[in-house]
Amino acid sequence: MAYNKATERCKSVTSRREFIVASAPAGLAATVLATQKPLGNVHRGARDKCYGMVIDLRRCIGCHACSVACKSEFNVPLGVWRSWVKITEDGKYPNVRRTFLPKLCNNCRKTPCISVCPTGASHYDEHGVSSINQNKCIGCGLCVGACPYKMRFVNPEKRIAEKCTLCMHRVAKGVAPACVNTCVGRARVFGDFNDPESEVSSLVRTNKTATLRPQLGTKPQVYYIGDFDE
Amino acid sequence: MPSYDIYHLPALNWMIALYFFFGGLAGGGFLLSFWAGYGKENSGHLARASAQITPIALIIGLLLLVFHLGHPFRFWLTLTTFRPSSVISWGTWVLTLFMIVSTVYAFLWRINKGGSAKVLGWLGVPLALFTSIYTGLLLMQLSGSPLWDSALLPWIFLVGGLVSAAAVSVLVLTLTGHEPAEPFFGLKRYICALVILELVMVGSELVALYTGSAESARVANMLLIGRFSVWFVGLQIIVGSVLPLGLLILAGAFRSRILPVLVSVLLLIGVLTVRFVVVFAGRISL
Amino acid sequence: MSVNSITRRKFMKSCGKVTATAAATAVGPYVDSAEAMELSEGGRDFSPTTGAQREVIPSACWQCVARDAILCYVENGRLVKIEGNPKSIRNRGRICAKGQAGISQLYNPDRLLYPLKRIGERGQGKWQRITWDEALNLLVDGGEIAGTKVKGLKALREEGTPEKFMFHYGRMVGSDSAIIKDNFLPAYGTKTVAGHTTICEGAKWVAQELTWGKHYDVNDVEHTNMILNFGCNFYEAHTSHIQLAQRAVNAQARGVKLVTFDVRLSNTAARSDEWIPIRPGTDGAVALAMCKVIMDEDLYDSDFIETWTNVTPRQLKDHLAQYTPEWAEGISGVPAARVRTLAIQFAKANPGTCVSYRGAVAHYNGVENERAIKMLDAICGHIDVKGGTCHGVGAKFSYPKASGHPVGLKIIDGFPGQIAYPTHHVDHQVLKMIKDGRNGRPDIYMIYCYNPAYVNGGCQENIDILKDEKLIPFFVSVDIAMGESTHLADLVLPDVSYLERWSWDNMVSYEMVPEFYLRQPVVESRGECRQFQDVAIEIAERLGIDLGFESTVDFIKRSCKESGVDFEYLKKNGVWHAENAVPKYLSYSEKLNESAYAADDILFDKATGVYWNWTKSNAKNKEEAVEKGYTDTKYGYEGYVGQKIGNAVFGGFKPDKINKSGKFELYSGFLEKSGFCPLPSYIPVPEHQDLKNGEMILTTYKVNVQSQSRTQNNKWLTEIYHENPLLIHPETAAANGINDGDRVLVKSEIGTIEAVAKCTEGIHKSVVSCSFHCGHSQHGEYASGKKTVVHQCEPDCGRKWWKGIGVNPNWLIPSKPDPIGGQMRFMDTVVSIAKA
Ligand SMILES: Nc1nc2c(c(=O)[nH]1)N[C@H]1C(S)=C(S)[C@@H](COP(=O)(O)OP(=O)(O)OC[C@H]3O[C@@H](n4cnc5c(=O)[nH]c(N)nc54)[C@H](O)[C@@H]3O)O[C@H]1N2
Ligand SMILES: Nc1nc2c(c(=O)[nH]1)N[C@H]1C(S)=C(S)[C@@H](COP(=O)(O)OP(=O)(O)OC[C@H]3O[C@@H](n4cnc5c(=O)[nH]c(N)nc54)[C@H](O)[C@@H]3O)O[C@H]1N2
Ligand code: SF4
Ligand code: SF4
Ligand code: SF4
Ligand code: SF4
Ligand code: SF4
Ligand SMILES: [Mo]
Repeated sequence: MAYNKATERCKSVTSRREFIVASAPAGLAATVLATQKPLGNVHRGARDKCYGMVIDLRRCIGCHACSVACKSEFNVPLGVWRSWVKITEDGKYPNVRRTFLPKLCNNCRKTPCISVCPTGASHYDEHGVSSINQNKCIGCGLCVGACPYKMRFVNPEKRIAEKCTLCMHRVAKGVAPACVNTCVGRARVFGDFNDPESEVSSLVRTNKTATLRPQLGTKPQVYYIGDFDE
Repeated sequence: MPSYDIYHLPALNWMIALYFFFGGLAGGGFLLSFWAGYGKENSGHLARASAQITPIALIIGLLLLVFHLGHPFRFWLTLTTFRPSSVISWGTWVLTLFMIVSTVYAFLWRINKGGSAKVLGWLGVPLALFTSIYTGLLLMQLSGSPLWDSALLPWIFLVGGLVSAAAVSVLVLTLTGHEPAEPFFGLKRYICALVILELVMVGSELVALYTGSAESARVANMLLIGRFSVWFVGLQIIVGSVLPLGLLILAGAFRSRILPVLVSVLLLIGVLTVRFVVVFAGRISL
Repeated sequence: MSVNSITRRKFMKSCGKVTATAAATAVGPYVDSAEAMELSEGGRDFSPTTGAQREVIPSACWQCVARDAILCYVENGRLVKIEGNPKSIRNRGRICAKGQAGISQLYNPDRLLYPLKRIGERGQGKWQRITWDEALNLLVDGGEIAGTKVKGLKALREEGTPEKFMFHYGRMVGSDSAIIKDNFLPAYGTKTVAGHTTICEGAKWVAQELTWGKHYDVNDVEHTNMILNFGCNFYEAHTSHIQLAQRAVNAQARGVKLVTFDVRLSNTAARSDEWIPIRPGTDGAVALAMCKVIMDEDLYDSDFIETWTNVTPRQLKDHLAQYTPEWAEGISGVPAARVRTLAIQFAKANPGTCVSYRGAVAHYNGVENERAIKMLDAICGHIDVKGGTCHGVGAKFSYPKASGHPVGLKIIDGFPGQIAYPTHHVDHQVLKMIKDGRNGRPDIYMIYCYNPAYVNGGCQENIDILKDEKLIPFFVSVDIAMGESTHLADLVLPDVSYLERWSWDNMVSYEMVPEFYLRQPVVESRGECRQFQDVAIEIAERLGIDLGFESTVDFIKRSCKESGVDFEYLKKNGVWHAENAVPKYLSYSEKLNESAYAADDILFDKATGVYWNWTKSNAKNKEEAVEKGYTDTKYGYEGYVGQKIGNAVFGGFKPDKINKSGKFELYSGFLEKSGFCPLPSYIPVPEHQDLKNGEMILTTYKVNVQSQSRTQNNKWLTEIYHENPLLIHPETAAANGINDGDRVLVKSEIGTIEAVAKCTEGIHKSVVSCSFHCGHSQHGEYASGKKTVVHQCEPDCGRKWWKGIGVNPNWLIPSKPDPIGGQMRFMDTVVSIAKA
């Protein structure tokens, strides 16, 4: 698990296409041309907000109140989720460990989900949040596969891509997201990382935090305090 | 380590797998025709036949792609925008161009203007190459799955496209009553080489998966011994590659109409299975 | 911060015309650096599609017994979202997954929407839709059901046998209960009334009634310094789940140590500092050994023991001498060294608190386990102190009560002489008693919010009895869905769900300040559903009984008035507590003024030191009361006033249901009289003593996203949890030739079920465990894979993506009571397993 340094957090990165040279297995290096792979759209500065969450796993009881709150807030159909809790178990009797990992869109600052979109439906909205324009989405499902965190899905009813919106419809009106509102352990804290005074900023300043798959360079804006198994 | 997670209903389905197949067939068909056109004297009918495959396969593929969309009637949105970061955006544009070029190309061969066709072919080749590898590039952009996150995928798809085009040409020519000197219309060595190349690449892919992360090793296991083993090992490798390869090598100069038909069908099964395995195994490991 | 200020500021900002400072001036107190936007936690919700603010109606959850305060958001007459009510001091604006999923309970596609009358055989599933008028005529006047004549309520009453109307409820609380149990049923004249407490946690309450009086203990974890948890899964279940879980998380964040004894790794065990696996039914042994360590080390609170209990430290030391940690290790498997260290830490925690629940009490020895655990708290002086184990404080509504002298069949307390103190009846034996018949049988058996065919042990036997028209001539069910029991009924009355219901409620408060709250309809009742309380009022009317109130709402208004609570305020805010109320700790030590115990009817009982008002007891006259004394007069406890200690009189530990004194009775004369050990002791579970090779103990448990037998047709919950594997340790599995994922046959003395084995390191090696909730044969598509006859499609129809439905362990668990309290022994069953 790699820990992010506070300074790396939410810096607005200038638009620079990053390339990963996919490595071909040695034996075939000759036959295979090296392919270049665009990593993702980069969130461009200018916007003043950097919304995200800090989830304190030391307070999470794995209760799924968040998963269901989110289902009902958006009437999410069966079979797909905007947020859920992954549970893992390891260790030997009687020293067995079970960990809970609540997940939601990471509001990445570099988003493979946006870059694959052929129509521009996936974009950063006026709050700086990685979003989907419902009228532009053709439901091709590519962004679903592009998100390395499996946070997107095609809504079987509307047949367009959806994901956690960070509850911008509530936040814009001054109310915390639905999952935060009901979080039994008060593990989920929502806020603006660009605001040094915010609770989330102070939590990441004062705690050791980690993000999901930081090696991908997507710059997730959901930070976890405490141990987890990805 | 027991774990409990919730998964979404998958977004990619059989239509996408078939679309990949037809895309590959279209690209492969064009390349084969181009190659045959510049080839030996007697390969004209091969060039002609495979040229016809391209626009037909492309049309079917595009229809599949459009109807795979949640909103097929919003497809035009992809043609009013061009997004350089999106492989599928490139794809839509290139495929549209390729559609035009390959239709004219096929028409020229049809009206026996092979010469002009060959010239136009130079314009079509890059488009065909792109079409063949592009589906693989597309999956590569979907970083969610270790199976898709592979630099080999486009090339596996390209080789598969060429194999399928050869198989379809052989099938069409044989069934339409052409009686060539050699039952495979001179494509025997070409097919053998491609199938071997494909097997090697698939092998390397497996090695890469096993030496990669724990997650990718799990995917490899799923293919080799897990729930996809019947499809992958059984259908793709044995039925779709090793068996036709063996028949090709062992059959010698055996002059029968059954053999080329059988081999072609097996090869097509193999190529189709690759697409299905990649899409379905990939989306499961999502 | 007002609603307007935010929207306006937002508006101006998005217009981009106003600078930050200008915006700040424009909205007054709100400081706008764009970053400083303070979000409120809740209280408002908006449509994600239109952005429109949703109408909000406060109410109370009832997806489980915890009954938290909620806010319901409604859009065009449809309930669209539920949140916790931030004004509640109990649940502090939070609710669990089940509470969040309430919408799917209301719009359950298999909701009963009109009355049904059986036309085929019982359980055949053939129904006729009837009107409410027809239904109530049938119930009141009798009539014909599938060709057989049945008597109605009127006939029973006129024949002078009102007790032949039996009312058996599962969950019924607050005013719902006050209307039915304290008005309708006594006015009708029947006392043949049973509940479900002994299939729940009855032994816990009986143990408390024997020691400290009225039940419902509150673990004040918010202020505690250490938590010892015996068999409670409070991060997933518990009767005050949300209240307790929130405060326990806070405690853990403060660094408070939580140690959990459980037979398996529950989520609570997983989130504890230490999970200590324990052999089933041996929590008492561990608690006793801890008591011994504490007494031996002189770490006990001698003041409390000497003043407030009825034993001396000497007596305790002598009694506990037998219970060494090494002995406890032999019994429970808990290392003696851990017992010793934890005991010492606990005694020094100052204060700590022992949580206990069904894992400790749903056993043969449940009462004694709970008494031992309470003793552990008591000797450390952790009783009723801030941060300790406290007497629950709940809202006390005053309300109208019917007078009358109802009579009852002697079938609710189990077989005569079998249970010593069935103060909560022996609910799971009621059907057996009916089958037995020696104490009479009801002609009309009505169940309300109760699913005996599924939730009691011994499913097959329950089903056989419920199906038998000779044993139960007229079987009526009041339900919201076609559950396994309702499926067997003759007449089905569709109740409203909790989201269409009126009631006041009074669950205990972990703030130790009573909270009064209201449940009110958030949408119109679906179909022809009617709240059963209103139906009961109409039935009374049809029988010519005047209950004195017209409707449930009328009753609630009267209750509020009598209790000094503003009904309109409750309607608007959902919850209310007295502003000046302070947390109620150490209530037992309250000194009484002489005027409180100096009245004429109040007697002083020398033997116990209790002041009591004999007129509230069953004594015929003062002389009889004096002669029999407090302890031996039936319902003496009803007249309890105070306890004399030294020269003062205190409120003391008020008795309930048992005439114990006002002391914390570690020594129980009652148990002594009925042949049990008076001091808390370890009683081995007989069936566990010589297990044969290959035999293990089956325990069951609840999970965080399901409630009892009632939420499995809730799509959002069952989507998360729909299969319940049989948990087994890999070594135990290997010894029995079983691999992870195998289908296995689990066999007990009464039956066999097929389950899927799941190997986990998180379970005791002598145990197999299977959750309750799954394996329905009725209730609807999401629960059982089958639509019921009343199924109506909803938008998610056809999107059910899971196949399995799991198994119900109750087919294996025989209905057996514990000998002291009649507790159903859910965690005691011996089973063997084999590959299917
Ligand atoms: N999510 C949810 N919450 C609920 C309910 C629900 O159905 N679902 N029901 C509500 C009701 S009515 C009640 S009564 C409460 C019950 O609340 P709890 O009593 O906390 O829950 P249970 O799952 O019945 O049992 C608790 C634990 O006891 C363990 N156990 C079994 N045998 C033993 C033993 O011998 N010793 C020890 N130490 N542990 C043992 C089980 O593994 C289980 O984890 O929950 C309430 N809250
Ligand atoms: N093996 C095993 N068995 C257990 C337990 C266990 O842990 N393991 N737990 C036990 C415990 S603690 C308890 S409390 C019992 C609970 O068992 P029950 O008392 O039977 O309670 P529920 O299963 O919650 O609900 C019974 C029925 O009430 C109906 N219902 C729901 N809402 C309403 C309503 O608003 N009005 C009416 N009229 N009906 C409604 C539902 O359709 C449901 O079928 O089960 C016990 N059984
Ligand atoms: S988590 Fe996934 S969907 Fe969300 S921004 Fe990152 S890549 Fe996109
Ligand atoms: S599904 Fe919609 S948002 Fe996603 S890539 Fe396709 S068009 Fe864009
Ligand atoms: S922020 Fe809103 S959309 Fe995102 S997971 Fe939480 S409730 Fe769902
Ligand atoms: S609601 Fe909070 S405590 Fe419960 S699972 Fe979600 S993040 Fe964890
Ligand atoms: S614990 Fe959950 S289901 Fe029970 S009352 Fe509270 S919110 Fe409702
Ligand atoms: Mo219960």
